[in-house]
Amino acid sequence: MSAEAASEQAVRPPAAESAGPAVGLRGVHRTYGSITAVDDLTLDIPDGEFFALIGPSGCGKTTTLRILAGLEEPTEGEVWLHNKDVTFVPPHRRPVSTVFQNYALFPHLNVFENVAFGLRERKLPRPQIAERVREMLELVDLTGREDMRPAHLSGGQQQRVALARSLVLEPEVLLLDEPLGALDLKLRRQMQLLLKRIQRKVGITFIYVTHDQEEAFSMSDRVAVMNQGRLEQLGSPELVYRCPETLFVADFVGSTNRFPGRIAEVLGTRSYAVELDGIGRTEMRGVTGLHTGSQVVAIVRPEMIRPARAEDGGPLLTGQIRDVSFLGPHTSYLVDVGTEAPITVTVPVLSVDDESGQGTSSFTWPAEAAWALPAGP
Amino acid sequence: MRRRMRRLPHLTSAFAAVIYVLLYAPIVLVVLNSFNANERLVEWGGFTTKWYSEALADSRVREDFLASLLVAVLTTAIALVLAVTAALWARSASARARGWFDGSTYLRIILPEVVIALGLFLLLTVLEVPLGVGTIVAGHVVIYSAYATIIVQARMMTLSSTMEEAALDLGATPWRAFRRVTLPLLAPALLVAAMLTFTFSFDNVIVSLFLGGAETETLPVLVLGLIRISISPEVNAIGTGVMLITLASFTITAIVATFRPTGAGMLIPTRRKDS
Amino acid sequence: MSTVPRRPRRGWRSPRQLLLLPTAGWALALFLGPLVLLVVYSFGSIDLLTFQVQFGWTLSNYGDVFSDLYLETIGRSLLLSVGSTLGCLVIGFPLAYAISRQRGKWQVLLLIGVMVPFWTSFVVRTYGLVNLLDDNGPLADLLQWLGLVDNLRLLYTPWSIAIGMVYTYLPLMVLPLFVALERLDPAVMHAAADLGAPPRRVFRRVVLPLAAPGIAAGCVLVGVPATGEYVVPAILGGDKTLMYGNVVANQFTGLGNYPFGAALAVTLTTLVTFVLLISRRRAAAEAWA
Repeated sequence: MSAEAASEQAVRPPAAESAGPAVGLRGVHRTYGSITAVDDLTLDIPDGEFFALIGPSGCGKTTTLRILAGLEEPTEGEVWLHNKDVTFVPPHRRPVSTVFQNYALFPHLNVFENVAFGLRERKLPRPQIAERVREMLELVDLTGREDMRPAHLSGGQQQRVALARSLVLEPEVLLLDEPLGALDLKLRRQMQLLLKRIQRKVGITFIYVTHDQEEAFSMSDRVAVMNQGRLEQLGSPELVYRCPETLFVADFVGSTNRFPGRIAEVLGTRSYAVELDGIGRTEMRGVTGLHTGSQVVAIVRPEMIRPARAEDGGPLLTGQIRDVSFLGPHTSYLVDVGTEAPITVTVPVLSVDDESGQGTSSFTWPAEAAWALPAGP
Repeated sequence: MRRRMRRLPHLTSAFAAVIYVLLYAPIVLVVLNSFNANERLVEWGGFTTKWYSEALADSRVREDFLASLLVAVLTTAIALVLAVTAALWARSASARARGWFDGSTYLRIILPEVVIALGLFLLLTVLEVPLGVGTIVAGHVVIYSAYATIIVQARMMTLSSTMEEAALDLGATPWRAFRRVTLPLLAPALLVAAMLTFTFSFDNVIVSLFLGGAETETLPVLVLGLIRISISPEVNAIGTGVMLITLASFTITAIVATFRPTGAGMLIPTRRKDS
Repeated sequence: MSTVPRRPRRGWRSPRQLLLLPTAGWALALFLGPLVLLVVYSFGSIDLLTFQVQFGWTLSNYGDVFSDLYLETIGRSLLLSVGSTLGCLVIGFPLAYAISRQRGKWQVLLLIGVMVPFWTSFVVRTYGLVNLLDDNGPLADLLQWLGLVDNLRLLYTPWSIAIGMVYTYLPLMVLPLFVALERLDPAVMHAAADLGAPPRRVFRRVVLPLAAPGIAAGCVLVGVPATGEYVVPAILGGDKTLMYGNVVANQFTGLGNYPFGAALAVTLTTLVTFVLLISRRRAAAEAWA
């Protein structure tokens, strides 16, 4: 159960390393009048990690990033960078650098001057500045464009200039605020690979904010899901996907089928026998701390449901296929099985047998595919 | 591109042309008469430049010109500082505060100048402050910093604060961020505001008249006095000279404002080729 | 983790508010202050022999303002301002319309062409008008030659003041009108014509309403300062035709009757503020409509 072990590891005590985690947030609150943007956020991010902060708009991820950058002050709480309290340190003295959503390149300076900006503030000698800028431009594959103005660059190029500008300062942590939002799909994929490659090479912590779950999953070592200012769950992409701790997280990171029910029996740590409404008793895994009789919702991902064969034990759902959508690599079926809402079943196209296209069909799922969550308010 | 519905009705075009002629007639007349040898200026008496030499030789004209220049330069400098600080404040101010501020700026421009000038006159008299260049500048700034503020504020709106944040993020102190990023981007607006303020201040009559006291006279005030006394051919020469100065400064401003590349707010990435 | 002494929570952002200090200080001391002082003085009384001012709470100054003597001047000033504003509107509208229908370079040139007189020396421009409107001047010659008049008596009459004001303030009317008309999409007029409206109707029911905000703005920009105009009547009115601005100024610089002058000034300011508030409320109401 590597996923669970990973979740234990996620919040390890800060004193483990001598230099401390790269980033530490302690009870950070940020309110604007009556609006709470960030609510009691506590987490640690170790060195060298590609860390993603995801959530719907307004969940507080950008505010959190800005607090890390020093562009906002928390109303309460502390911000630590490598064992130093930087809560009230202004942004120009923090060892972090930000890649902004719209790049914020200086239009009146060319590429070289943009990248050299921070170095000039540090009053480094010219030859050294030139050398470091050259290296960085090579890293992001922009050699030869030093004299161009931002207005004459494509979106992808501007993005790389912004990246170079921040990285050349060798920050302890790099913050990225939805940097790929304005790019088209193909370019975004390329940039994702580039960012990952650079992060591995440079070795510093990247904190990446995005609302695109897929992007976050493909790039990061760990993911934090935020909702309305609060941290809902922290863990590896796999953990968050397979073992979400709340319904919100479950829904945010992928599609779900929900089956309400009650805990019939506790079988072991995180192992339960659940009585599902309209379906019957079945065994599954779930979050810790559920008791016999607790109201739960079992979630099953569409791709884990498959047509039932006669010899299958386990839960059985039978019903009419309402809708079929051919999605390319998969086909999605909407099936009325008598539960509150129709279920969604996704099957790889290649595994289809003609029968499952029409009429009544039966479906089931393997025991490890279901996951029990407390039924929310 | 928009298509024009139809040609402009001829009447309107003709009308517009006539108005343009009438607009420039007095100015042309002044210029012509500045070379008119006939003192009474009733008819053309031959070409001469003696009015110009007289004007230049007149020490009072020279002094007043310098006074006007001094006042205009001081007014412009102070007005720009007020405009920039106010625009910086306005960017991060609440909508309510900004509403009040904009209203007061508008009021300073609209309110009849006599009221502003005389009110200040009263204040200075009560406080027993001697009238002179300083008091004139004080009055000019009240009015013309409002113009400058509007211009700078308008430009500031197009600059996103993210750019300043980026500068801070990269290690620049707030002052350095302002100097290296905000100020250069404001430059075109500052130039326009400076030219406008300078010209208006140089040309100002009412405030200069009432707040100059016995000691300080600006060029427009001198000209006003000369006009009221009698027909004065020297006035035409002075007027034409001043006109050339203000015209030159405004033409420069207009050219700079229209044709200079602005590179404003580089925040929306322009989609060129994929790369 | 090691602890670091905590700095007070002021942070580096509070200085933002200080940025308003220069402008606020200047405006409060030198703009608002004088206005307040004027109000205070307007309720005082003056002994014209000793020029000592007593601050009572008398309304006698305001009484004088509204006396027959001054009411005439006030009335004439208002009439001239309104008339000049209308004049600017009547002349400025076709002009703005013509400019708005031009393209690119021409438009810019024509616009600058309207502004250039505005930028040349105010006093000198007005003096040029004196030359022009002189009884024996070029305009008189032209009109006599055309057989329109026998004798021109324009100068130093209310008419010359009106002409002078229109001449001075025309660019201030043209600009907002131009901005409003420029936004007018010709397609809208196309559509109206298409639906059967003759040109005059199109103008009345389409162009005018859409240009209304520009008209309102122009009228305020012209009308408000015009009520307090000083220089134009001083030059073009001789000393015979006085406007409000001249009367007020005289109280201060000539007669030394500060309280009465203050009362006059406050009355003007109040009237102006009133008009401004109405026009702003109208504009806001339309924005919500």
